[in-house]
Amino acid sequence: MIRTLGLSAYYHDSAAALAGDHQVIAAAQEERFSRIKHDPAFPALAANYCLEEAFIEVDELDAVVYYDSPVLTWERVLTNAIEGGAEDLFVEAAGEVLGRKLWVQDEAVAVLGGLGRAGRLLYCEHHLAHAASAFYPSPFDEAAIVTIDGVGEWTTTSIGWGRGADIELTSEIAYPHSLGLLYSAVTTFCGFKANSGEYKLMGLAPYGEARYAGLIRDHLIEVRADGSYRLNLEHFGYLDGPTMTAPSFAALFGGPPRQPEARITRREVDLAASIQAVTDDLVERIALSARRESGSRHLVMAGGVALNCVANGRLAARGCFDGIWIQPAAGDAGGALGAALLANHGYFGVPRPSPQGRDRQRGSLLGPAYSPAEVDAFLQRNGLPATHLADPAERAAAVAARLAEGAVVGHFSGRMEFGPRALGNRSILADARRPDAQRTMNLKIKYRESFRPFAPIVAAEDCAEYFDFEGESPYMLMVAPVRAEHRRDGGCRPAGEPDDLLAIVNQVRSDIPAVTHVDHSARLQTVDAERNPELHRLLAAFRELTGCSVLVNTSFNVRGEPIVCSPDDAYRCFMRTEMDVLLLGEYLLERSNQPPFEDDPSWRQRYGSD
Amino acid sequence: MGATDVGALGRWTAAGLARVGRTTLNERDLRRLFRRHVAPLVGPTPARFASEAASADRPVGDERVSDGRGGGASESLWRPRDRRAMRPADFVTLGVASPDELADALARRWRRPDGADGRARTIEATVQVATKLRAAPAATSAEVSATTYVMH
Repeated sequence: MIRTLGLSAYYHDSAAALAGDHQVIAAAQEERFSRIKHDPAFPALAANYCLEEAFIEVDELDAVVYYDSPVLTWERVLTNAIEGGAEDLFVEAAGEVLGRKLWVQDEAVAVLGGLGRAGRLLYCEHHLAHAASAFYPSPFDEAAIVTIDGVGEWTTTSIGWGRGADIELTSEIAYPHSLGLLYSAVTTFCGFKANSGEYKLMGLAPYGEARYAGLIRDHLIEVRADGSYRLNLEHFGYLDGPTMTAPSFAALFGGPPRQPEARITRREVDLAASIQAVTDDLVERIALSARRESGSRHLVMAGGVALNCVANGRLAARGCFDGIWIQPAAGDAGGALGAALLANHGYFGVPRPSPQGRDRQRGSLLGPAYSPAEVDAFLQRNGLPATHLADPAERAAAVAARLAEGAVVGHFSGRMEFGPRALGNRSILADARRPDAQRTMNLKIKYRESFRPFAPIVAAEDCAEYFDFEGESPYMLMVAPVRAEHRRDGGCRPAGEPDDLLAIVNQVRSDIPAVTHVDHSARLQTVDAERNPELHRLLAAFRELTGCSVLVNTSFNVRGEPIVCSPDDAYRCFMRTEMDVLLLGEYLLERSNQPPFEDDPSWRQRYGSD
Repeated sequence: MGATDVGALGRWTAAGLARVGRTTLNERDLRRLFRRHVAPLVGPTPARFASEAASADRPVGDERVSDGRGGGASESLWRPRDRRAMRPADFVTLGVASPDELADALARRWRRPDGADGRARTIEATVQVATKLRAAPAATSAEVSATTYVMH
């Protein structure tokens, strides 16, 4: 077996992934271990976990591969400085590339203690790593490939094809023209953080009208029929300064940017709707170009923009492809996984057997698991009372009963998810039918007010009963509408100034209000028995009790904290919040039974805003 | 001053800065320096930006044929990729393990059609900065700035 460790680092969301031949053995983001959100550091802890999972030492690896070319990145940074100016920006970027990224091999040797049998670090191009992360684990023998992100080396968008073990990216859009950077520019203009606030902007869009879409197309981005595009750079600041937008950007949209945490006005919600409309259209055009170029009616996607589940859902609903598969860790973290698989197939020549219609992402449950013995030791060590429920059916019934009673449950089970979404194994669950679930979970668990509803999980076989959606969405990467018969309002969008988005989002719009957005959309995750039998059993037990197999699923963390990884993380989060129940593997913990929890009162300050 | 006299370029720049009472280059200086003195050394402006420069005076969207959604102009902006697939050798040459490899990688990348190094001085300065930072990652920005000054 050829075993390659893939690394992504130094930008955001560092990660490590271990591939064995054509399979992914393990993958995890560094933030889950370091407890630093979006940690960009060299993924020492994640790499160590990957080696532990395979029970191998670094000298048993065939190679270590980095997901980016620092040489090409340097060329872009230098050219950008020469053309765009901004000495301060250049000096900082030059220091980062020439002082750190170029010498990633040095850090890899220092941290890992070796580079495997290859003896030196391998590198691949950033967008080829994204492409590999999208195609190789996909359920397709051949597919069109689309990658879209902010920028990787020179490339911001690429299209191509995958067939068997071969991948080619044939065409690209190059920096400084970038759909990802355009979306991030609007994100920061609306007062959210780049590289993490894009999800908020997407969640804001359903409140608004796309009245700025024409302005965006007229002044910010020129879109060609084939999905190629370029930006009007005079309105952007990232070429020659520290801000994403130039002063003229504000002039276009009637005033200065919104300050973080300031009141959200009609302008921001309409801007969100507008950039979403432009993105939906452009993603579709790009995908259709990839289809023409590849001749395939299957599509795979990766890159940060591929996490835009609204655009993905609309593309799926258009029916342009027979199948769409998106890498769940579509951002930079997934580059580690793509790099590892790309090296196995492209450097070592490992063949890729037909996936026969089944993806090889393993439910994206690629992180660490903790055995019953480990959880028991944790409980014993800390003197924590818990009920041991070794029988899976008994465990599912017990948790389902508490959910049906209105309890909020921390669900810690099996291997941790790889990628930004909690898919049930490091999740907080609640009854989606309860009108107060949204508000309760925000205030008592997440310690935030949010205009975004939570995401639903639904048993795959029951999906069509609740949502207008065909197929599967196991990775929460598609948005789909709640079916008309489950809606309880007239479908009217809020008009006028959105003074109170929270009041709007808390209105009951369907039989499953906690997961229904103002436009009746939902960020859908389907759960099947093959990928996640434990969670599927729980949904079945909940249905048996209540007649409903939809639950609220949100990530197991508080605002600004990385998703929990270990039992220790989970218990701490459980006690810091007002969750009622914690399932730790086979053990059920009731909050009311727990001993007093001594904690550092400054923990909330440790996690910044998300 | 000849266009290829890099030493003279440095002296000219230092004298110019002293004349205006500054010690560091600003954005306008860099642009002017590049266009006047560096561009002749490295050949034409890279195509990525040349196309941008050519279109700078044209409002975005003015050649658009509307299809109702804002797209429709005939000329594609897709460009062929330099590297369509990863060949085994690429896995090695896309990164570097030493300053010498860095110099070789940049020379390969920036070789002019006639075979000459397109940016010899830039390569030298890049390697100089990178070597210094490799040995002392905590080097101050002033040191980097001083050397990048040479680079320009």
